Amino acid sequence: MIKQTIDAPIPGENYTSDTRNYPWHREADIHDYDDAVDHMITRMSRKDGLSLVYSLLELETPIATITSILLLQAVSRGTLHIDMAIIIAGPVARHIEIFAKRNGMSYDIGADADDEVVYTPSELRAVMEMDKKADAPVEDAPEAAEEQAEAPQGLMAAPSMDGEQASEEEQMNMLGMTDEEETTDGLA
Amino acid sequence: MKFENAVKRSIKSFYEGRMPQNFFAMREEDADDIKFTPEFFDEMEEELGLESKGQEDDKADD
Repeated sequence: MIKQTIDAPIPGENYTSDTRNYPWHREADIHDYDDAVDHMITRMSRKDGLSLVYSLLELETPIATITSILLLQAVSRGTLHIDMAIIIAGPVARHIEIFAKRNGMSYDIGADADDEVVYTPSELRAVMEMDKKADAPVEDAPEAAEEQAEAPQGLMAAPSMDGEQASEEEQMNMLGMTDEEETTDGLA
Repeated sequence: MKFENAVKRSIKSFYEGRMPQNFFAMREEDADDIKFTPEFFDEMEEELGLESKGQEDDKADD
């Protein structure tokens, strides 16, 4: 018997799954423009919605991005159809802007910014220069590493006691290697 | 087009004072009966005593 080693879907397996269980595959709950905007404003007025919007604004997230997040949530729950979500993006963003103004928060609409990130040589150079500056303190690290290498590091190593070490003669005595023994060894 | 880009376009056109007229026509709704228009939010700002978009632009010009 051949053991199956590839963990991949069987051709045609997608036809066997029941996609009707996804909320966005069913009919949306709200179809009316005003009802949809009202739903989003009510949702943003609730404690969880308020805290989310407030936190994202504090993180200087553009209002367009916050709007996208909130609308995608509504679409994923099956509350709004995706077309309706796009249509009501303006009023939702405007409401978030008013919320930011009321709370004295700085904000950026972010509707003019392009999603496509275009890199230029000067931008890349600037980023690389910043990286070099960030790495600068690491140059001092080798000296510190050398100092650490000189000191005993093992678990069984003796603690460093500068100026308190026994002299070489004392150490030889402690090891039992006295001059007398050396002579006897020599005679033997 | 990505969803985020479509949202940005929608926001931009709403800020320019445009409404989805074709959408309302298709649904046989009268655009005059719509509550959440750009003017509605401008009035809301005024009622709350906040600076409207136009006033901010004037300040920036000064």
